[in-house]
Amino acid sequence: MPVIEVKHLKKQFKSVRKQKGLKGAVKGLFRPEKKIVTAVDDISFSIERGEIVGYIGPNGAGKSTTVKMMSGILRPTSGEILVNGISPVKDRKAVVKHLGVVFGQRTQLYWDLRLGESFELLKRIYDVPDEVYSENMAMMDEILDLKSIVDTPVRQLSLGQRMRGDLAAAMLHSPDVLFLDEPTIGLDVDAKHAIRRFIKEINETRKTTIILTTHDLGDIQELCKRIIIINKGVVIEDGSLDELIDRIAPYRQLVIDFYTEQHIEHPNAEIVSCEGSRTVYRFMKNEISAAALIEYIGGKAKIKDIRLEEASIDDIIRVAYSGGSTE
Amino acid sequence: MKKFRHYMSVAALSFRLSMQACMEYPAAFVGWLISNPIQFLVGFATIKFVVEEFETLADWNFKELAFLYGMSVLTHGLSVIFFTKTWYMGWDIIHGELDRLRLRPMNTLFQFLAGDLNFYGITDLIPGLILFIYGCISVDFRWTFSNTICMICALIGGTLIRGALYLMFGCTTFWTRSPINISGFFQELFNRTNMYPLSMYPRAVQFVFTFILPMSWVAFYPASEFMDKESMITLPYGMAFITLGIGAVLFVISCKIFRAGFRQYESAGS
Amino acid sequence: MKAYIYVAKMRIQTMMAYRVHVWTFLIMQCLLMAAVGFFWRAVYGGTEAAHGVSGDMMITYTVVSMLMSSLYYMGVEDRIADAVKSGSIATDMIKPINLFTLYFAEDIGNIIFNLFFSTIPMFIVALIIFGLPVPASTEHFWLFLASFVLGYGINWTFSATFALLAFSAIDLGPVFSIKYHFVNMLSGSIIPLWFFPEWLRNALYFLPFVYMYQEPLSIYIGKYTPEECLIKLGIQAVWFAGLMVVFAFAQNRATRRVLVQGG
Repeated sequence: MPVIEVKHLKKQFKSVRKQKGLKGAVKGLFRPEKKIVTAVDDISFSIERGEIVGYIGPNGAGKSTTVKMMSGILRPTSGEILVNGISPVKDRKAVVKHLGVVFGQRTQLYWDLRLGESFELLKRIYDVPDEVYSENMAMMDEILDLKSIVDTPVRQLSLGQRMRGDLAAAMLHSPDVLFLDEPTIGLDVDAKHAIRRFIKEINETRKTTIILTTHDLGDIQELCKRIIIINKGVVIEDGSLDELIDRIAPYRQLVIDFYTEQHIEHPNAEIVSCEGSRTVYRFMKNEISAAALIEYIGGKAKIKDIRLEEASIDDIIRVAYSGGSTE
Repeated sequence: MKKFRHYMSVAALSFRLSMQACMEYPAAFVGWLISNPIQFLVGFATIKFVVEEFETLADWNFKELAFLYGMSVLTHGLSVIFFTKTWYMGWDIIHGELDRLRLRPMNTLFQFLAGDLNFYGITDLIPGLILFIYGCISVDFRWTFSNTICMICALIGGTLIRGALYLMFGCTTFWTRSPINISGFFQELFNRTNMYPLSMYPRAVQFVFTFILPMSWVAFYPASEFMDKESMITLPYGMAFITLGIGAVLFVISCKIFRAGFRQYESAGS
Repeated sequence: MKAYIYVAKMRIQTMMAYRVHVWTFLIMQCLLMAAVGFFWRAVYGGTEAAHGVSGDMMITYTVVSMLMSSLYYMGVEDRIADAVKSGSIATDMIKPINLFTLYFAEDIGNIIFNLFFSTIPMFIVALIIFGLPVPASTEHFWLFLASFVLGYGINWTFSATFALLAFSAIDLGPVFSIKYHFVNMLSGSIIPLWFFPEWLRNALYFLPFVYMYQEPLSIYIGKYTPEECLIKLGIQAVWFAGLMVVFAFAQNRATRRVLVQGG
């Protein structure tokens, strides 16, 4: 049975249109103009236990809205969500009991309390038994090094420290599903590394199912075997990252430095550029392997240096985003 | 029962933590401890000056008015501890601060109110208690068994009426997406309707504050029974219980509104 | 100048965005006005006059006092407090416009907004409930207008100076709260000073508060002869000038502090 099932999810907001100028403002005072915005149009997917899924899309695609619906904050306009077989619309409390949620943009911790006190309060709220709590705390401390920050008021924590606290807070009640909405936003390299290590570790040791929205493709590359790309409220890609790369950018580039200027051709490789002693080849992965190409060229001339380039993930995602657009 | 214990333990811990958080800023606490009594002192002085000029207000003398004001201020202090969250809820709603409540396996309203009790309310409660005791002494209030029961009911009812009205008006933001300044709206009105006897106003005004915005039940009606005064509604006995009843009913209604509002809650979604 | 007019206009527009706030505020203010007016009517009961003021005059006094307070909007206080709290005061001060003129322009915007969505509707409600709050004479009305403008000036400079001097307080909340209640009480906006004990009343005439509310209002209801009114206006002008000097001093001090310590 899938851990999360989403079927034909749709969410529309009503919003008041701000009218221009003083005249418009006066009009708005008496008769505000309403308009309907569709944030999520039609989204379906299902996620199995233990998966780490990257949920990505451009700004305003509907990522956060989906996460909020799955965690019971927002009510879908139509469609169905099941988390552990329970609908958050029907039984929110039952769903969130086994759910951890972290929003990178907004802390779930208590601003004026020390971090440790926030944990204490959460322990009570989730009614976590003492031994589970101390076991979880020990594990979190090991991965996230909480000891150094546990006595600091949350408002005094740096962004990276706060995020470590938020992650730990989300794991206190040992949830089996974790939603992370941009957990690495605005973090420095070290902090990002710590967060990624945490996600990996949790997933491996506890088989926690993780849904991760992010704009940092490093997160995706390092963590997610599967990605779901949405744009304008619909799913435009759902599959493994490798598959996506194979489909959108099924080629590689081979950069070879010779000792002298060379012009060697191969029927399966296109020469992109040839400047001085450096030649750049582009070839399809399914037509010829890099090894075979190198061996062939190496047989013709002496090679000084080699570099193999994959299409950059940024480019791939950009192509995927625009490919899914309706224009 | 287990559920009740669970909820109580959360409430107790949050109150303790609120106390600690408050003690982190001792200067602010002392500041409020000085500034809050001043407003009651001002109110008290106003009553005194007016009564000195005109002797009685609708048949209430200064001592009786002090008693009335004491009851009003005490319920204010209590409501500040339990319901201050509602004063700022418009902003919380608009900025998506209530998301957090949905993520936890407890009742949303409980978390909203009890999850963040306001220890600073003590700075309102202390002057409230002092005024209340002063009022009771000046009218020589008899703490008989039935009077004590009535007083407790009236105080609980009054606190609930205040809180429920704040909550109801705060909830409008769920629909309107536009916050209103609740304490600004209500403090003056509550003062006006409970600092002076309602019976001195024209019947239309009395009607409004009795049935439409039932603010006068906070102190005026129960106090007029204790003081044996005439009021718009004459009942032989039990104004305090009616206050409690109105408080309870209003509170239940405000909970329902809060619930319905949360259904509307769309959060600030990005 | 154009920039300031623009700011004032923007302010009006921002206020309008809070639709519900505007309407609820208006209703509550009207309720309050009715309550206060009826309060005085009831208090006077059979009494002809107290301290030379009749019940009707007293109702006029309160109604006009509430109309005035809807126009005495002191946004400057919160603006300074917010700027200090968020630390934006340092960047604001290096902008090529005068920060306080900017705040003043915003408040003017607020006044214009309140005039249409608070003062005038309240005036109409008062008209229906209590009848026209007539000034003592046309002459008194013009004198009142002058006095009102000076009263606004005193109130504004006082608020701005106060906020600037309170700079160093850690939490401005309680400090502002004290100020609010003091101004409310000591300016005679709720009950006029002539009901206060004599020693207090005499002392209060040496403070600026009475010149914010009570003196303009007394002029309106005709408690003073036109000659006396002119003297009152003179005193107001002196207070206003004095406060302006203090305000300039506070402004200098604050600017220096921000520039030296970086806010």
